[in-house]
Amino acid sequence: MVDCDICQILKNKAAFKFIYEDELCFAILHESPAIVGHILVIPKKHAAILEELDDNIIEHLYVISNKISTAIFDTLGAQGTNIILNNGTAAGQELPHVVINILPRQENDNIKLEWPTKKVSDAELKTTQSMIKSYSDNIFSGKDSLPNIKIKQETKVDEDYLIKGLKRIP
Amino acid sequence: MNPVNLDNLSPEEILELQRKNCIFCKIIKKEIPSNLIYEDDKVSVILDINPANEGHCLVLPKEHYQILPQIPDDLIGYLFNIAKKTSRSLLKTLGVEGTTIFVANGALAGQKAPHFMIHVIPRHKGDLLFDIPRNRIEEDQLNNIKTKLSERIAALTGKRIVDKELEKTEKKVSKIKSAEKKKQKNLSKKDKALDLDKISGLFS
Repeated sequence: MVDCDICQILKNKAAFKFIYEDELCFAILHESPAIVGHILVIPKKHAAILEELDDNIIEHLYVISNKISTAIFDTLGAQGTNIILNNGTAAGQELPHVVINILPRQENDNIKLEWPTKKVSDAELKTTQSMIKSYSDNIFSGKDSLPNIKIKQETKVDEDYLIKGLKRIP
Repeated sequence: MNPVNLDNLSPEEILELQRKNCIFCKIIKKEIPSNLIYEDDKVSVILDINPANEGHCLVLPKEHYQILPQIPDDLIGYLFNIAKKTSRSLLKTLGVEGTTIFVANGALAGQKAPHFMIHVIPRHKGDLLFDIPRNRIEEDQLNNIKTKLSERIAALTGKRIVDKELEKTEKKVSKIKSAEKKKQKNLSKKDKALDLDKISGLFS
């Protein structure tokens, strides 16, 4: 897409730290990383959320993410990795293009991704289960007839690192 | 029950022991009850009983694997496509506006049980989960990591990225190498000549 900041990365490769590229996806180092070695894996096809991508692209993205995660274990001495996809603005997604974050993890690295768990009763779980099951069988069996999800997108233009990167044209 | 001495066990036996004691393997085999959302021959999707948000689902491979690097590529693809369908189910039925697809490889990354799983978590605006911080980093450090990682990734994927700087260094290296080969060739010619001198010398 012409006005997508992430799609623009491919037009100005020299401004970014590419560590991998093939016909379907590419991977770059985050320029303002959560931790040293923070990587972004990005599909070349423009898609705002995961649900808009075909199965073969999703398979490819995660197979490559796994290889990158393995390379992080091998070369950066990481003792763990996180692979995170924030899907939709409500999930903290900042630009309307699917991005997978890969984080190398170390002991005492000060990254807090653990969530406070909610106490729920068996009855509440049963209610949630039946709410999801009211339509999920259609989705899993491929008889899904609901329209595609449109997620509200708000783009923060002022100080995004990717835009900053784009401006840094040599 | 006698305590088991792990030192006397082969890796296969340790894995078997892990499987036997794995809570998630028991949930998959329905020896422990759970709130099942979906299952087929390769995967089970259940509700997390200690959710980050209502509707927090776990996508579990039926086969026991500890971390993602152990899982074959085709199963990785299958599992994440099930995660996509799980995410769509949550967006369609719970009225949430986003989901986080989360994987932890290793205890230090927050993995709680030695059975690989994909978390699919419904998200609400301002729920403050998975806030990925940003830090400053030096250009040199970025370049250093770039070199290390892209070499290893190229070895793992068989694909090398097109990098002009890298190409330049490679050209230099191959020039030096071919110059050395030439030198070697000339040397060995000399050696042969010497040998011939020696041999012919024997006859005189």
